[in-house]
Amino acid sequence: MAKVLVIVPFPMDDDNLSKRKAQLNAVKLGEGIEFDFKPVRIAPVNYVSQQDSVLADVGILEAGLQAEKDGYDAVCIDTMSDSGMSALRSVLDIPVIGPGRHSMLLALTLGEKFSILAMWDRWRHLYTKTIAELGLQHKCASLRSAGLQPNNQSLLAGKEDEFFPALYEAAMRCIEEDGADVIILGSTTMHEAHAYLAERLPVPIINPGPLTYRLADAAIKLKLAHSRISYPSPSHVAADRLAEMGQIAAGL
Amino acid sequence: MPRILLLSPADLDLPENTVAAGLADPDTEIVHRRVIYPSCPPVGAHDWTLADLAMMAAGQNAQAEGFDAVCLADFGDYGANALRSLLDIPVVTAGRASMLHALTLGASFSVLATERDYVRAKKIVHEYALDAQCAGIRLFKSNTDLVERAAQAEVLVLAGATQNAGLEALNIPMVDPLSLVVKLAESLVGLSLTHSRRAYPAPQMRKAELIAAISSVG
Repeated sequence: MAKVLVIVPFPMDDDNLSKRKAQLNAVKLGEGIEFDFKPVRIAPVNYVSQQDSVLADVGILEAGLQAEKDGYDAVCIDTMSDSGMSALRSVLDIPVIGPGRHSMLLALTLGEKFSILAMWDRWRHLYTKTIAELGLQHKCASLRSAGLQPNNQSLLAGKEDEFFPALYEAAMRCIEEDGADVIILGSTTMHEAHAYLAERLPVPIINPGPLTYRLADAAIKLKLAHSRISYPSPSHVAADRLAEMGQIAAGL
Repeated sequence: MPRILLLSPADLDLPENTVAAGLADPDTEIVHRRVIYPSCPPVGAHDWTLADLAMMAAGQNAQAEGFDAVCLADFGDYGANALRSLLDIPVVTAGRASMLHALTLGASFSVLATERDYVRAKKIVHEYALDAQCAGIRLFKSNTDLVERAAQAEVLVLAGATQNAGLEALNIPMVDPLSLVVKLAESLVGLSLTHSRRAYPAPQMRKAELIAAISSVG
């Protein structure tokens, strides 16, 4: 049985964690693979500034550092920011799948240009960072948001009537005004809107969290992980220090 | 149960069970068909045009035949765009998918190609706008000095018949396009995803009969 660790980028209770786990229902998975969802201990309150990005990187690194020793075969990161992905790749030999990078590259197998549909504009920096790293600015038709305040704990629950049509309208503008061939949901926290949008939009829409589960499975079967040249190992892994940081954060 | 039609170029002479055991999901069925190109090896535009036609003809009825996805094993992606315009099911192609997937593993990639695919590889790298991310296209003739040159790559994409180039000792990820397209096809089926009709609009009138007729010449 292959085991995958899904790192959830905020501390949360079991109820809210189950909303994250519900992403597994959106994809048919092969046999012989199971997913454990683990919230981080170190996190910002949300992802709207560079401060938040640093905290997210540290928190996800801390949460995944022991994944290989704990017997996991791959790690998925449950945030489109791909926070902590590079840091974890530098210390782990198992595949580490970030939904941001993977969904943009997969989108380019489905069309020539993609747009990213976000809840609000304050997530823009998450996408521009990855797009710049990939050097694919010319393949991004647009970054658009529906101007909605997200909630990373309760997700979209109770707000479907207001949020789903607003997301649909923004997505249609990506297609009709910006020329997107493919839409990418700008956050794994938006997965509850995927089925609604997929039924109505005239182009494919990528649900990034479930995509990472399939790609983790593919990476395990293909025995294909990241390049050590792209992600060189540190001279020393600060495992004790990071664990202590996690304990301190959990106690605050 | 996903049914995948795998189309491979006959000149590569891939074995019937070319997908490694255990790679595909247990309930996946792979039907492998070899496609004969009228002008082979496909080293220039004349050959490529005819290869496009051959692949299009071989895959145009895949959906009607009950397949859930088509995989094109040729790194040159011949007929890929045409098949996407004709089919609603995913068409996963070795060249495009493997180079984009390489960028999930590293910041840049190199392609290792034989003379068969060398010029075509250059063309599709440019067409997919991956010039900046492609560190180089290496011509595989023999292992002489290849290991040293290939070792400079962050990720190596093994085009065509270079999978057995003996580079296993290199500690870099090597993307085998054939294995990859099968896993990606399963993934797309599992996610109910396919290509965009904005990028690949359907023809106003299909010419299945004409395609079948002219591709059977010879």
